[in-house]
Amino acid sequence: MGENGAGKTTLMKILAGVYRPEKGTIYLNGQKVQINSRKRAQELGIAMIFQELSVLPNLDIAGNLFLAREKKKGILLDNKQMEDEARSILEYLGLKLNPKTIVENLSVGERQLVEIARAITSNAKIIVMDEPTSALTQDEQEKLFGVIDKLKKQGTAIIYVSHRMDEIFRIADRITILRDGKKVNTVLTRDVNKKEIISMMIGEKEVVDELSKRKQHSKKFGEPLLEVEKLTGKKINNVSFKVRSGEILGLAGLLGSGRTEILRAICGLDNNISGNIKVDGKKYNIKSLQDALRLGIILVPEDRRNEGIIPGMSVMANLSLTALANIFPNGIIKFKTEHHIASKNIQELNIQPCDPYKLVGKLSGGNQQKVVIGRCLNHNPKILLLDEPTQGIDIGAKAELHALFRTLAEKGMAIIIVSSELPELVSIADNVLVLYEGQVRAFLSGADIEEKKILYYATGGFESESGARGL
Amino acid sequence: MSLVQEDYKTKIAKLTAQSQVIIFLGLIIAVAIFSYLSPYFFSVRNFMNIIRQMSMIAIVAFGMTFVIIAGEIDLSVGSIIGITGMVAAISMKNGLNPIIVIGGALVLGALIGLLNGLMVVKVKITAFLATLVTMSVLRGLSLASTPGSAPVTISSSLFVEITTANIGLIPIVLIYLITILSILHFVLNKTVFGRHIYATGGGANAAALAGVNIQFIKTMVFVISGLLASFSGLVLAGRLSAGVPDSGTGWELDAIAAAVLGGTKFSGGQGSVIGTLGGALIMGVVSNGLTLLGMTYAYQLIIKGLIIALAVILDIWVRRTEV
Repeated sequence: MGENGAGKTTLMKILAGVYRPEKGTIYLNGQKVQINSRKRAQELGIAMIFQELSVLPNLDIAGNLFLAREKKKGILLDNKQMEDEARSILEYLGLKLNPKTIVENLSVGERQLVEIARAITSNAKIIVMDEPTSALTQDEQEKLFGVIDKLKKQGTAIIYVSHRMDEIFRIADRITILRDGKKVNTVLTRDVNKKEIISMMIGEKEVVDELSKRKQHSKKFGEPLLEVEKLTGKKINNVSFKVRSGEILGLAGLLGSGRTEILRAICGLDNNISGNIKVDGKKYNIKSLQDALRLGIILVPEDRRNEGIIPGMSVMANLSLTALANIFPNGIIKFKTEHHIASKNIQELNIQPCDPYKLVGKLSGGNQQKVVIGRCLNHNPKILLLDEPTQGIDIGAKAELHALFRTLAEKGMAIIIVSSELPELVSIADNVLVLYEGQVRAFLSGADIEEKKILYYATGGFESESGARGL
Repeated sequence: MSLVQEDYKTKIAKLTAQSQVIIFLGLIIAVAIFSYLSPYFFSVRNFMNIIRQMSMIAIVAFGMTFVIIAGEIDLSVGSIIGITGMVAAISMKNGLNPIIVIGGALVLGALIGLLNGLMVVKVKITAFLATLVTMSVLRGLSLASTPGSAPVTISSSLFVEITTANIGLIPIVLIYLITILSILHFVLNKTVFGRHIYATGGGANAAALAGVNIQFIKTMVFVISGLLASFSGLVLAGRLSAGVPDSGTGWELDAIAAAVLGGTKFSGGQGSVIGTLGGALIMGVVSNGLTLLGMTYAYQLIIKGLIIALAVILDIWVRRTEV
């Protein structure tokens, strides 16, 4: 376990032969081994299930299970045998899937299970799972845990990376906690409680001043800047809320609960939606991103590398991209002006290195995100939509961004933040809207915003008497 | 460490990291080698000859550079050259004013580009296939436009004059080339439109979410490419004093080669028209030099291929060592 950026995935990738260690030794069954390629890791019986899926969508399930280990009859593929074996493995895992199904047609969760099936097919003695449940539904998670129990009984060792506390306590025998790339401790699960683990994960630094700061400001909201009424679309069902000037509204929910879709709908990126969107009290029909930008609504997208930055362009060009047409209405760029703006952004956002000509693709994740946010702020938005703004970012940059969001809100901006990290929502959001399967489950405010409560509603719990007030 | 020194170092690194610099160094080396090997090579007359030959390819390649920077490809330029030559020759034969013909042919080129762009952006056909379609259809139309696919002579001296005149020693096409180059360089580097082209090719999703109208940008690069190809087609028709149905065949590949030689990143997002000019010049110099040395076309093709391979490898190497 460990926070984002603690080094969990890196460590696992070294075990799986994706990265090479600079120093240190790995012992397998008491013997010193060198794992310098994925192939070598496979030979040693180490299989890894990656955070990002690595199944091939164009092949069928059997084809994926036996990828690069195809059964052969002479020089021909023995499809029959592969299918049969695939079927028995799927049955063993309790999956009702046809091995001839093309993986493209499976849900994300099913694909993840196929990946696990692949690890089993390879007779792995050690299976590394890197946050395997992040894309799974409750039902699929239970299936996975069942499979893990079975594997454990068979003598397979499993390294399970997660920052979901409940899962860890459900399946782990021992827990190793990492922080800032270092091992903090290894403990037996039955000897510790969640609180102790959290304090090991985050260290002893206090989050309290952040919290108290928020509370001071909690009542100073202005007029509603954005009102959403009965928004309904593909993954959204009758969602209504408003965000006031100076307010940070958190959108919580599991993957696929419609959080991102709501942001996209507000930005005009989804055309098949019904419902009203009011900006500054006036109703608008936002049909395209350009419409949204004109109204001062801007989105910081979730997928930073593909949707946020343009890696081959300089920091300067990325920073000015959105505002370019506004800064230079006659269409001709003045480098002095552009350079001046970029330098200002770099200084204000503390972008490292402070070289406006550096290609954004060569920056660290946190600095890339600062560039994306800087680009959005140069547009002078009134409403800022943040989709997982601190995902994969180191703790320092994260704290800087949180402080920035707070300052922006104090200056009168309305901010919506989607985050899967509950501590983030707890510490930064003034109000939190919890979504479940596209519907609003709860509206939490002030001191009611607790990880426990968010999780309860996000996993489908209903509002109870003592729960939160509705909108 | 002194700041100045570091600044100086990064400047050198940045300079050498630009493929443009390498291509012009290569050009100088090629000129030096051919000047040494052939007594006829190093003369103003021969240089003007090279310029006449390469200008047309360069102009097409500029358009191609725009398309490739935006992350697309245009295979139809060779056929646009063919069809504009034919349309110009046939309409002048039927008594149309050469000036109107020139204007009309340029509009035709732009419209074909628009068609390419709409196929890519609206119908969502991959640019490779969409422009393969126009390439094939237009070539067919050019060949069918005249009985027996025979060339159609152009008798208008005004038309020939506009496209091939010399001012002193300088061919008029060089003036066209420099003018077009300056405008395109300005557009790419100094305008919002140009920046949006780079952004579209550098990451279409991110560009779209940043507010760039990538559909408009993609359509426009095809329009520019079509327009420039038709311009080149007119100059070629003037030089030949005829509309030749199969003229421009294979030029799309030369144009792509010139752009890539000049450091345009094939996957989009990076490149410059100056670099492309260098690429076109190198190809012009090499083919002229080899001809003067008596090498046949077959061997020239082989050497051209090797040069492209060398350039691409160098480019990969430079990008890898880039700081």
